[in-house]
Amino acid sequence: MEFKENNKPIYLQLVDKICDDVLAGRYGDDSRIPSVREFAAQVEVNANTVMRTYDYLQQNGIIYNKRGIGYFISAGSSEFIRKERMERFMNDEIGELFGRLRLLGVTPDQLLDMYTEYCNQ
Amino acid sequence: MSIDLSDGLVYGLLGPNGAGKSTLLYLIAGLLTPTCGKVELNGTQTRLRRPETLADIFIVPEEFDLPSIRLSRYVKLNTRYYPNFSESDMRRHLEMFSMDSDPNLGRLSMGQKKKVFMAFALACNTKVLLMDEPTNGLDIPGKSVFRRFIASNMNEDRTVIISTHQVRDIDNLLDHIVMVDTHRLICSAPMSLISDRLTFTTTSNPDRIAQALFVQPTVSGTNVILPNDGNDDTRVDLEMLFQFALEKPELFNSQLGI
Amino acid sequence: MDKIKNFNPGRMMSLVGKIIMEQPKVFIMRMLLLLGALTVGAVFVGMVDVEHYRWSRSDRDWAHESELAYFMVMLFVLGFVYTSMAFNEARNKPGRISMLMLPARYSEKYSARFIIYVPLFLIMFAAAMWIADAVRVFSLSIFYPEFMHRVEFLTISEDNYRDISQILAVFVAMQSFYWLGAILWPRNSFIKSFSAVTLLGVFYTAITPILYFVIIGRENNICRVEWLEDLNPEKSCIFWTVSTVVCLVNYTLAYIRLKESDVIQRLL
Repeated sequence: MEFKENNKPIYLQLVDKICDDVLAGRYGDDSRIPSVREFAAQVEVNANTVMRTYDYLQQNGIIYNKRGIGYFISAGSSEFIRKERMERFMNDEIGELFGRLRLLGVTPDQLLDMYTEYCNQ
Repeated sequence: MSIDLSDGLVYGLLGPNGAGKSTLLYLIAGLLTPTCGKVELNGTQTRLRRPETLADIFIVPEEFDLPSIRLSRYVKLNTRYYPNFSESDMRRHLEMFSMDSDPNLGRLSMGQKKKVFMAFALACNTKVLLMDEPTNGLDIPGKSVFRRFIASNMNEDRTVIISTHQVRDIDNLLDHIVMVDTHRLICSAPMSLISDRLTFTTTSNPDRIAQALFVQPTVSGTNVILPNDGNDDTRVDLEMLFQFALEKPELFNSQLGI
Repeated sequence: MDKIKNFNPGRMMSLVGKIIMEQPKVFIMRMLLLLGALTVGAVFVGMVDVEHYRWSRSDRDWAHESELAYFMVMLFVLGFVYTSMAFNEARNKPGRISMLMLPARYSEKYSARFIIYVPLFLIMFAAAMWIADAVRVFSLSIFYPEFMHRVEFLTISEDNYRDISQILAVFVAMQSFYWLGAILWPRNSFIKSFSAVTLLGVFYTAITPILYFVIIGRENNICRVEWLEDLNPEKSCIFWTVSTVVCLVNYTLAYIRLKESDVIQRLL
């Protein structure tokens, strides 16, 4: 797996990857995700780091563990992830975007027109 | 210096060429006798080269020779000395490297020999696995397979020490870093500790730069190492870390609390 | 666990097997060279002998003396050459690493090679002598069938056996120096190689005339080493005692050297 040169620690980048896969429909509710070691091999990362990823996902309720069987996606994870990302987008990225738009002198109406045209493509 | 190596972890032995990485690896393996101090595995000094100790260590050197015989014969002649050798493991490893199951060792290229030997090494299931520049001579896909190979074969009983000057080839595999330069220990710390205590980022903000523990000006801004105040979990930049530890050892150690 | 810790004859024997089977071609070539050298010499001697008889009707049995002398010279030449190759794989770093890291006791690593290069070599040599001699007789029966009445197989007789015993004692003692030399892989490589080559040269030049005088010269009164003339059991004993002492010293030194070897000469 290609890791972005951004500064996010690997375990969090792996969290994002799994969440991406959930959003993309690769894992449905209650479907099994690869074991720690399988996933570690897939992404060529230390298994202890993957363990940290899985712990993080577990703590945030995105996956659950069935002892002796493996890890599974919790019901409703897809929605949960979508909402959480929207929130993050709103708080972090939108704020930055709006700041730059104002600097460039873009009015709200111009913004609406631009986005409408984009959606019609 | 004094280091304890634990089970189940992958150690990276890092440093530039000629830094003494191979020397340290040989000392661990018992191939060299320490001039002072000692190296012990399970309470026995490795320099004694007792068979029961040797059966728990396998070293994949940077250069090695394989006899010009078929792999099956090589296995028959050599596995008697490694009680935990597993034929099925070796077959699995060879598959992962896309190698034939019974090649003629004399006819393999250097890269292929490396793959076969590493497959054999891991299949011996020794407690300690030492690798000296394992990615040297592997092409880009080969390095990727190597990472997958190590990642999928970690287990709680095995300690893996990988020595390399090509940090980027293996940095995601490492649990713990040992850095050496000019035959001295520069730092020894777990990756988790490093990322807990230090933040690595690039900035143009003069306040941040002023607060930095270590700076490296570049074209696109200044690379800095800042103390991690709990909000800034970032990737560890091993090359910058090495410079930091080399140039400001006391600050480095105090920041990590070691 | 004790089977792993303590001296394990089974593991030593499998080490013998491993050493030979990992380099089968090398050992086969060495055996062929040995056999070839002895056979060619034996047949040559046999033919010279018959020709000599044919033209001079002399009653001398050259074959027994010359052939035996030739065999003994070859014993020394090939014995020394082969023995000095006993630790060839330790002459480079990768080879040293795999030799030192193999999970076996030093005594096993030492004895396995010793078995190959001393007793096994002697057995192979004896077998080669036997075959070479048989080939001599056989080829003479083809080329000089009319002279077969005076062609005999080489035998170890009353006279021979004490000579051979002496020579063997000398050989084993000298071989132990080459054994020690084989273990002294390079620290100061050039000096060692140079002195080894010089010593070898001296030996080869000196040994042939010495043997010749001892075995053949005696009869021809060419060079009479008085003390060696009346060989009796006591003198035999002395040969063997001196030889044993020399061997023990060298073998022990070699073992110590093996134990203290490190993989590289550190510059620290």
